[in-house]
Amino acid sequence: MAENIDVDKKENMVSVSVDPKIFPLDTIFSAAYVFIDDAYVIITGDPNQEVVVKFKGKGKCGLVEMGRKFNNELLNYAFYAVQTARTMPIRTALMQRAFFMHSAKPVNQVKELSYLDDPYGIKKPYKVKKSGRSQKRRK
Amino acid sequence: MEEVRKEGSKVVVEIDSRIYDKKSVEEAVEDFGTPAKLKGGFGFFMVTFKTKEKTEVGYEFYNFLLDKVKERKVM
Repeated sequence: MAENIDVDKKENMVSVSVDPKIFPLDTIFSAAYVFIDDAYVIITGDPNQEVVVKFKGKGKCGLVEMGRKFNNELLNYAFYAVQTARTMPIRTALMQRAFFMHSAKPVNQVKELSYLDDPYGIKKPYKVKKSGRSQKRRK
Repeated sequence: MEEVRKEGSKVVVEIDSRIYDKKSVEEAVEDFGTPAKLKGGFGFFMVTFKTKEKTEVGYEFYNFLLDKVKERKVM
């Protein structure tokens, strides 16, 4: 087969060879993980030369199709990794902004208040109310 | 190389140490339901299950190991 897919019908197994220079090992793990429910996944090979991912079908399934789907998943996760790396500075900036917007004022900017200060305008001189009742009692 | 094979009353799983890290393999052996023995070899780890069942347990272990690796590397 011209592709990187090799099928062993007797063993119900498909092997996909991957170039680790194009798709790093993390991407291969992520792509292989997608197939964990449909197949048993075995990864072997040299991470510097060639990695072989073997899928042994759990039931009856299209082996070639599975290999091709794996190729697509590889591309999907590689793209995701590239996008993640590209948007990393923006995400970091957004996170920093979110944290600093809601944080309390730095300690050195807070003015210490004395007992004479009245920031809320509640300081009023005390006055004795003269009600009629009390005046009557006094009389 | 046959990664999963039956040897008498044992199922032997060979894991490529260039692909799977030692910590993940150890953790997988510990947490996997079926008791197993772990040995280190030249370029591979060998996990042995004492069972009369077929090789399925070995393949299941491989999937469990992939799950562990994914968990550790957080992708």
